[in-house]
Amino acid sequence: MAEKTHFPVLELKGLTKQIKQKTIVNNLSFSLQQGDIYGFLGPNGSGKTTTLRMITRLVFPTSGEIYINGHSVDRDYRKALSVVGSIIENPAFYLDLTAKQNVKLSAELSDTKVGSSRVDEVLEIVGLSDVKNDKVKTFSLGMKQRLGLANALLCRPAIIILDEPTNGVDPAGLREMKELIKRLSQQENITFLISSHMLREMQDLCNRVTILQKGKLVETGLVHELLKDYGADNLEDLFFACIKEDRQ
Amino acid sequence: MEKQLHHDFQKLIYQKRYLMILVGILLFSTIYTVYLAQKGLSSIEMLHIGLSQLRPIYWFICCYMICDVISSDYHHKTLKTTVPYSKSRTAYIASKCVLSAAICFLALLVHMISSSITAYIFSPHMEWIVFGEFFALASAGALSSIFFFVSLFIFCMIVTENEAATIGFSLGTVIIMLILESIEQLSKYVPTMQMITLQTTIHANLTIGMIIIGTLVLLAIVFTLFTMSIFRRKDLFV
Amino acid sequence: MRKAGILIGFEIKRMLFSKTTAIYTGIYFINFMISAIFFRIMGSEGTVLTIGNAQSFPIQHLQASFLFTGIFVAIYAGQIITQDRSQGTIKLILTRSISRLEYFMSKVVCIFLFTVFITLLMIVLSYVVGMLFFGWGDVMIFFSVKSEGLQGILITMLSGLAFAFSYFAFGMIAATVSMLTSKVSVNAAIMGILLMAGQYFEVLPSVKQFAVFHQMLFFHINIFEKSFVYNTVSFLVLMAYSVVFGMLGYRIFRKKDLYV
Repeated sequence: MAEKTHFPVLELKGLTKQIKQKTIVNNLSFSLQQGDIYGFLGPNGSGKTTTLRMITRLVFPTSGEIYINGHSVDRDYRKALSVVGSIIENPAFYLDLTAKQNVKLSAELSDTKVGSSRVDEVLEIVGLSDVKNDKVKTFSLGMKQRLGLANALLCRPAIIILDEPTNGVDPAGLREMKELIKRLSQQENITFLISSHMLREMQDLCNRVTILQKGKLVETGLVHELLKDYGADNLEDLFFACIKEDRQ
Repeated sequence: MEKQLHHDFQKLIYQKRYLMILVGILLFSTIYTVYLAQKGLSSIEMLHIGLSQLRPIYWFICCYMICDVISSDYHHKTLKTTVPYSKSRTAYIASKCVLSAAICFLALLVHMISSSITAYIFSPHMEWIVFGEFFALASAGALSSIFFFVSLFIFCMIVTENEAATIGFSLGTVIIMLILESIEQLSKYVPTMQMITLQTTIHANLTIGMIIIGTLVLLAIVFTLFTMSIFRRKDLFV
Repeated sequence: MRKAGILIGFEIKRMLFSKTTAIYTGIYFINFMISAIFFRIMGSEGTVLTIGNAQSFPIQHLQASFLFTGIFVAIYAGQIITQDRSQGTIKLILTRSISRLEYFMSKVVCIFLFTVFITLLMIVLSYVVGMLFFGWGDVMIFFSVKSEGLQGILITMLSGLAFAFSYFAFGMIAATVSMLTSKVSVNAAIMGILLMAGQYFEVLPSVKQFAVFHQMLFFHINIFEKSFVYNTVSFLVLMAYSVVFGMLGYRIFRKKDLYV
């Protein structure tokens, strides 16, 4: 179970990313509390994946700070990233290795000690036990997504970042994934930051949302409160209302 | 195949690096021919020496261009988009072969034309028949070698599905041939030498010259057909 | 550094069992067979061999494999740097709180181990081909060095180590170039052309000792033929190339945005 903390699990302060003359992310600030399932929404090109890349230190911010469990991603990245599990865009694996070998490699590279039983356990959780000895190049997109989730769960992280995790996953897998996320959030106190376009699923899953447009924060808060404020029936209506308001 | 070829050709046009290679060859050919002209050589001698000097680097460049064309879909993971778009897998392979051969031959043409023009400027008394014969036989020798190499390298790419293995194999093969060239008895049979030795070989013995060209072309056809048969049935986990 | 060790182990395993290693083995074997066959037919005029025996076979072929080994080292350096990026597997590693320095250092060590491995591969294959064609022979002769038996093997290994070190310096240049390219073939072509052009440094006697290409051709010979001072300078030149290009490569990588 993730340790209870008195500070936000994830905190972004004034995060900005500029490439040449274009601002991809503009002065983004928000925080995630422990145990929350956070929806990270926005139209295509709004800067969601770039933000997630900055959190996982694949991309460097132009300015601003990111703190994970109170540790700066810039100055104290080892401690910061040691509690993070992630799927950024398409999960990438060594195609000539088996599913188990890929997860085992991640286990060996982790700061926390991860035994062989945990590797089998996470593959069982995501429903890939039967194919764990198959090479990843034979996997479908949905299977790769599940393997990505197994990878993210491996070290019992405090926060799991999922970028389009339901891409290619079948309906049964989708239901299982939702149940898993809810269970981990409630029982293990794991925080989830999920970027997705499937708003109906996000409404079922998330208790908080942040909406981005053109790199800027448009709205953030508890789902039920925002629905009430905007007079929206569902997350989809809320999303379009926020985007429309911002355009105006 | 025409659609596939058109598609691949468009991709090539969008990439500046091929233009840079051709411009580089143009500059080298022109500057080197001017340098040779200062030595008072005749125009045909300038062309011979220029081609001989360019030849080893030319084959390295060809290795790169062939591997680049045939591996681009594997590298960018666009094989799953391109192959269904293609009329057939055979057409896909054929298009890759034709395009990579064409770009290599174009590089040679750029050299020959630029050095010819430069040589003509400095030495206007060119014997056109001699020049024409040199041009035709150098082109025939180069084309047959190019087709041979293209078929070999695309076979390697399809079997290994590995860009590094293919470029390693292609450069290694060319280097082995550059080594074999140093052996006088073998040099006229080595594919990398055909662009400069074919003319001499044909003058000495027309039959042997035709056999060399014929063998290279036949090997190219055999390798290409074999590659097509493998690729037609291959599972593509892309 | 534990994680760097894990990455190194992983890369070494991949290197040993990869298709490229099989191709390199095949190409070296063919090259040595051609050399042996032509020595049998034409004597030393047709090949790099001056003495036809297994003891002398490997050490005589080191210099002759300049283009092959240079290209293979360049391809390997390019492969381990660019393929993780192009396939996206770099995010599998860097999101596990591994510093970019650890990651980069693991690649540097892998390049060094590869140069040692490929030199060893050449030496072993040469011994095999030499035995097949000529037998062990009475004495190993290499320039002014004459030896036999175990001492001859040790001299060959020492020469091989010097050879590997010079190619490691070249590999660091290739690694830096590959930071700026996205395809292995581009890297290989650039380094191949550099190799061919770099041989022309031999016509500049005052600067050739400071050219990495000269060291790649002669360092493993000069350790026996030249003075201690000369060899120390050569060693420092190679160290300088390794350190400078290593630092340059790391500087580029350290702050590179990875859109993978």
